[in-house]
Amino acid sequence: MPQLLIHLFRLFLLTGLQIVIFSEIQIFGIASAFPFLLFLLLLPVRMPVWQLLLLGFTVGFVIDFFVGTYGLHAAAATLLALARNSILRFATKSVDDEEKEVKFRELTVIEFSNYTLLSSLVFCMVFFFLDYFSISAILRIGLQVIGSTIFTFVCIFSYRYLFVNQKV
Amino acid sequence: MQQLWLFFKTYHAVILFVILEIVALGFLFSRNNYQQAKFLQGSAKIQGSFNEKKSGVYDYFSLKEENSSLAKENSKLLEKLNSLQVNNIPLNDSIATDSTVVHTDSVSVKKYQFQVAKVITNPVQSRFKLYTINKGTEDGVATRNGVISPQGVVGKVVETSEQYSLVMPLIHLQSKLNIRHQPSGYNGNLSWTGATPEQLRVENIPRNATVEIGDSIVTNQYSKSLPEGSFVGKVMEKKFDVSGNFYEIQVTPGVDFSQLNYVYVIHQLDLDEISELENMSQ
Repeated sequence: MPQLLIHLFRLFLLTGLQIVIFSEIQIFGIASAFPFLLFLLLLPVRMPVWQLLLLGFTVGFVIDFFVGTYGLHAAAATLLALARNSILRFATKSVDDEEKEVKFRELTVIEFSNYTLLSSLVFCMVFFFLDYFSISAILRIGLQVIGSTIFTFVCIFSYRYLFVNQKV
Repeated sequence: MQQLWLFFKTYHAVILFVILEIVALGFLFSRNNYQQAKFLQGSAKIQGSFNEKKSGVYDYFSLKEENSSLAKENSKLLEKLNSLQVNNIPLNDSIATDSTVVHTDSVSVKKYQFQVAKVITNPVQSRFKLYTINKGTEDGVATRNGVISPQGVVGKVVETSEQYSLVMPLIHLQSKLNIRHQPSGYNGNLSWTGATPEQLRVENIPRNATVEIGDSIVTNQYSKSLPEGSFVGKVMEKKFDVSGNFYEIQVTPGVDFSQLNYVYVIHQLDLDEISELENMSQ
């Protein structure tokens, strides 16, 4: 099953990159990137939700373990895994049709951008709110969410359209 | 039974979601209990060896800054040595040639030992993060040892494995430190506001003290793990708290927590003796 291999490859590559490089980067002290989300975003559309949840939790937890954040990535990634299908439906409006299975390669650039941008936003909101967990830091949370969403989006987008010259 | 099964079948995703979130948030918000300590110990070991390899590569990028900060520290130490020689201890004085004098006064006995350690993780994202350093129980590091850098106080060792230790920095939500406002001599408590790394908060300094912007905040004599008078930071902003009787001071730490590379672990040599004595009285 080459499809499975591709997902596994993407899992290891993105998780590794996240741990080794992206957890060390913070642009202007506000923007961090979470390109490992792409793994969750590109999992098959028809995958049962419980599998998505377990995968999201596991990936998040492994990153937590190496980065030292204990539960932060896991909590946010689990929520994203739950919200993923709704976001996809909202961003593309084509999953409603039961006959047609969405193939990610058939998404237009705009549809894929919406999907990625919304997902990053959800993840970053949960991540930074849990991290700060205080109302008084709301301004800073907002800044970090916006900065990190954009940075994450740029990373995912360039990974998909620039560096990986494929149509998966 | 059928109903129960149906319920489970319909809502299994939500139930699983709630369970997973509870596990994750449990890890996130329970940081003091036994499991957490065990988990930290295990992860210190694996993270440590992994991150040491990683930081071996990153080291090359900061060589220049590291050199200049070492040179600065050297010059500062030379200055201190010079002033000691001139003012207090006539090292080459012909009157004091008797080298057999035994210092029995406790003031002159060496109380602290400094050990260089390297920070091998540089956590930037989370406010709950701990720094991993490459010295552990094999090198004599114990929990509650203080950690400083040339720029000021970094934090305290909270967990150790054989070769690595985890350090809780001042910018951790559970960090607490006894400090003194240097010009006035009043003692207070230092904690972190949780907002940005540049904002530490000092409480319990009474209103009658004169506090100016730019005053130094140093550790006081009650801090068991750090030498008295270690530099912590500078006053950035002052106002009175709700009661009006105390200052609420914002302090910028001397240490840039995003640039930490080499630090010193401080072993207080009589720490055991002191804690034994304190336990006896209880």
